[in-house]
Amino acid sequence: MQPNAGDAEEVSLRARLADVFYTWSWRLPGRRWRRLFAFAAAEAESALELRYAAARTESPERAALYLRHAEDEARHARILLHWARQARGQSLPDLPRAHAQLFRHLGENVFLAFVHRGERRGRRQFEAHVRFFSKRDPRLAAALRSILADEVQHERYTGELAEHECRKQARRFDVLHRYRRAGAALTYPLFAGLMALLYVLASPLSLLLGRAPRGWQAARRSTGGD
Amino acid sequence: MPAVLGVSAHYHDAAAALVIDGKLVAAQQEERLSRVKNDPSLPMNAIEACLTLGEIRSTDLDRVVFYENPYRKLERVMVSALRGFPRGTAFFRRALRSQLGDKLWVLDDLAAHLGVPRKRMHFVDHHESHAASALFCAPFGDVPHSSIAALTVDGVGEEETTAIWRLEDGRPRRLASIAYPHSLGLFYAAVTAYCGFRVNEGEFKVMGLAAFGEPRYRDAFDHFLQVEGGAFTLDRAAFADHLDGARAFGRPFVEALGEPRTPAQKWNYRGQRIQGEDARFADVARSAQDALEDALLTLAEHARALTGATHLVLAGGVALNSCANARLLREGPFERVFVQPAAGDAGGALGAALLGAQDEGDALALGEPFCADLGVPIRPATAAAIADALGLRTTAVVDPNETLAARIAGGDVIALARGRCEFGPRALGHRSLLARADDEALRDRINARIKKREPFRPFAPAMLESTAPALLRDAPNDMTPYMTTVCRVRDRSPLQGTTHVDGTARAQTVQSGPLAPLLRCMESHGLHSVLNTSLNGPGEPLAATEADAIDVLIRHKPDGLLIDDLLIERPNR
Repeated sequence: MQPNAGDAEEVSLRARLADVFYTWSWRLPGRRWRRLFAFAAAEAESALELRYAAARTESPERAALYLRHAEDEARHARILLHWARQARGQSLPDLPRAHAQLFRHLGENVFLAFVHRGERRGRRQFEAHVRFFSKRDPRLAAALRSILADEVQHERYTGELAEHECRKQARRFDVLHRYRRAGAALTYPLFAGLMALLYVLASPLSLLLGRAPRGWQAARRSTGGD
Repeated sequence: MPAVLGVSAHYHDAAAALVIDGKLVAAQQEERLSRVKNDPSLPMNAIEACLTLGEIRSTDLDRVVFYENPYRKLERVMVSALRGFPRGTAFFRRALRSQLGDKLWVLDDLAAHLGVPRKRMHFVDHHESHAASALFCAPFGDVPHSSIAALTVDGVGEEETTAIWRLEDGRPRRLASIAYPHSLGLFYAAVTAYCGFRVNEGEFKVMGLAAFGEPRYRDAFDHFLQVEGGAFTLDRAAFADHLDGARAFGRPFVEALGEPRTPAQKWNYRGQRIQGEDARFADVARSAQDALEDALLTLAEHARALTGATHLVLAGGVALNSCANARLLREGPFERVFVQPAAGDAGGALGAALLGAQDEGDALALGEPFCADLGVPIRPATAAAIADALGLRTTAVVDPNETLAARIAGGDVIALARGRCEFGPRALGHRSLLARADDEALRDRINARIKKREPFRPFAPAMLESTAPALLRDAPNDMTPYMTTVCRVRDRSPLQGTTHVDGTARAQTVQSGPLAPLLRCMESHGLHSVLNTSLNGPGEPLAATEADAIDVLIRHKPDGLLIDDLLIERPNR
């Protein structure tokens, strides 16, 4: 996909905004390893989505593309984990192991359009990160550049395969997806606070509970039901 | 034609099983299809696969049975959190989030996803599902029901962690149980976390590690896990599962055993020995394994006294401890012991489906040998097309078993995918990586390069049942076809690559199935066994589909992949 002149202007404006944002955000204390770890988690999740898609698509050609893509994403996750570990100076938590099974929920065409959007966003982010680190940490910049090269290729092939009419649906889903994630992140502190309060309010019940039973207990009836 | 679906989900290792007309037609773990190891989510992929294999639609289902009681489970979780007040704030929050988020509404969710009326949704108790999966799948057709006891030993179900059962009128009847928080599963989980492994996944590693250690910490474990009066209790101060499921052990562990191991650190392993500071973790593992085995022997003796049975079946996650199962058979009071290969939570779906079929009035065919190849099939034509698109080399071989035998005899590591995927954690020849069993260097190569796992972990040999007496000191038994036990290896047996440091092997004895013709061909190459390990990479579920198998080939680089008569190889090999 070749961007037109309007796109180029938009990208350049985006790029400038991104540079400002990342210059600030990478400098926050403890931010570097967390951000690299989050990237690694995203790449690992993407690898799982693509392996899942490879096993479900009816097209062997697409299965092959998804498998290659998944292999790249898994390699990116390893690279980013390495740099996150370096930045933290100690071991990292386990990468989360889950994915949203987008292929199943969206269907192949919208899935492809959604992946294309993600790759385009990823490519723009990595361009900004490479610019940021090129003078400050050339080795990390080189690692990110190697990932960027793959992102460009992924963006191209998914763009070629994604049907134009599915892109609107993918955009809608993307917005909804981000809204839900942001909503969950914003409401979680409220939920946690309420649960802490509920725990305190319910605590007198603990006085009624007594000790947990020990040893063998006599048989009781099964509680099957509906 | 009653069709009953059993479902386990929302803890770890979700699965579905389908019974039609009293016959088990399909069982599938969700992880194999979602590609997320131990995937706990509602197993919609597995359900779809089971329905496809049963050639029915979801609306044809007469009954859907969930493997545990979600309401009693919520009650236990709340009680447990309140008992931990005030330290259980985070646990309370997490528990309510998961219970109220998914678990409490699971029957409604299933009904909505399947388009099946809510009144067809049912549940049974967690341990009853386990008991049914063991009792109904045991190969004890010639034995009266009164002679068979079941022992279910788990982390925790609703509130039970351990129970003794027997069949009455063809239905499992609970005779006695031990309640949470006293749990052998949680005991072993704490040791797993202490040794730096992931809980609910690294328990096999602790068992393997134990063989390298001495029981130097047995006194500490006798304090943490006290066995008395045919039962056991945990010293709750030493455990933290009610505060943090991933950490699972408390301060007394650290005071008695030292600092825990940092996860993912490289092991200090050389020349079949674990050295330096890591030797302490081997000693901890050995001490814990011994304590667990002694507790299980006590439970088995109690089960024998309570039931008078001569045959024992086990289920629950702890029943996957193959070393303990071997000791139960060797030293316990039962003539025969059986553990089906999906004894963990995935097997709960199997038990739930079989119980549901009984409730529908089906007569279950009991006592027949259990066939584990219950999952999705593999299609060579699809594999060939994907391989071509990836630029891999494909060859249609005339005699696949002979080709495979020759390649293995020549020192290659070959992936084999045949027929339907196994149900349960063991690869039994349908999705396996195979190699010579007599080559220690090959074992180390597979551990380091292909499986990329801890260097101390052993591999299993598969052999014809007729050959086993010449290779093993222990006779083949009801568990050896499923790799749910270990056997002592004869001195000078050509099993150097698959014999653990303690002189045992988790041997698979084969009479039929995909490995039988291969093993016969291997005889002509002077080999009487084959190293058989699961077809996957580190942290990945067993390969199920063509794409998964090819993914293993291109990423983990075994020397070839054989799918029926199609040999796939990397071009630059």
